[in-house]
Amino acid sequence: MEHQSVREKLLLYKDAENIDPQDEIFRHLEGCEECRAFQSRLEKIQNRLSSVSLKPSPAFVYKVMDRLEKEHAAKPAKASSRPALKWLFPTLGYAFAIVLMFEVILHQEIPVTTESVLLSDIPQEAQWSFVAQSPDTENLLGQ
Amino acid sequence: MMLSDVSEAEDAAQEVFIKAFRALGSFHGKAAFSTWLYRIAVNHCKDRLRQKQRRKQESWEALLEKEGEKAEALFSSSAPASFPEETAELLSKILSSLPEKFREIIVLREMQGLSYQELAETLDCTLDAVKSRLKRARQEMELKLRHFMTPQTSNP
Repeated sequence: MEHQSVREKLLLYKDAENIDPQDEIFRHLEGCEECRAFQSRLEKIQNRLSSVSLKPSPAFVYKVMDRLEKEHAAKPAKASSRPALKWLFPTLGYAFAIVLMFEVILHQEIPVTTESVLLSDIPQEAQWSFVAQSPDTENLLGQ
Repeated sequence: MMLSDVSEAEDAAQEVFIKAFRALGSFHGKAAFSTWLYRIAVNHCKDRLRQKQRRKQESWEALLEKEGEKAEALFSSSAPASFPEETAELLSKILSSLPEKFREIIVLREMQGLSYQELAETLDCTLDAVKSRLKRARQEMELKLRHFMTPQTSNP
């Protein structure tokens, strides 16, 4: 096995999940000092890098939380994701009021008094057309 | 560690959390939360590095001249580092001499311990690309640091 191909393999060898002890790479390493030195250097570098554990300063968490709180406070109140809901209840309220008003108007009997009929300039037929039933008024007019 | 300064890294970490907080709505759980956070961190560090590169970049030779002895002391011994913060700073300076693509994969794999799958998701590339990039990054590190390591044999 050539040095170059052994070194290529060694570069990822440590990451392999199943290392075959019978692999020819081991036979090569047994007899090749240069490749063993290469392997040793790789391991040293990896060990040095993995041994570094940087801890943040004790104030780190407070600083981040402080910034997050400021950011949250500075953010304008977010508009509702469904702006229609904002108008739904007042609209329903108005709609209900209008329907109610129409109901009242349509079912309301217009009160016709003798005075209003006699004193009015509008022809009487026109007035009666507004009222579905007005037997009492007709009787009055007949008199 | 992608940035060559510990205090700068802490500032960057703060920014990453703020960015993540702002972007929480865009997290849909397709990848693990940690992968999503790593992706934000990697992209943020890349942006910062690009800004820095426009200003100045220390050459490998200048770094060797300044930090060569420390690097030799660090890599010639296998004892735990006596000054972890100094060691971290030295390592991040060494890493900063690597191309960006190599640096990010070394940091994520060797220091953060991400699996190949997590690396592929974080760096948005295939598993084959992860393997190839990691291989080249390790090769580059070995090439740069071999002079600081006293030759010794190890048993396989």
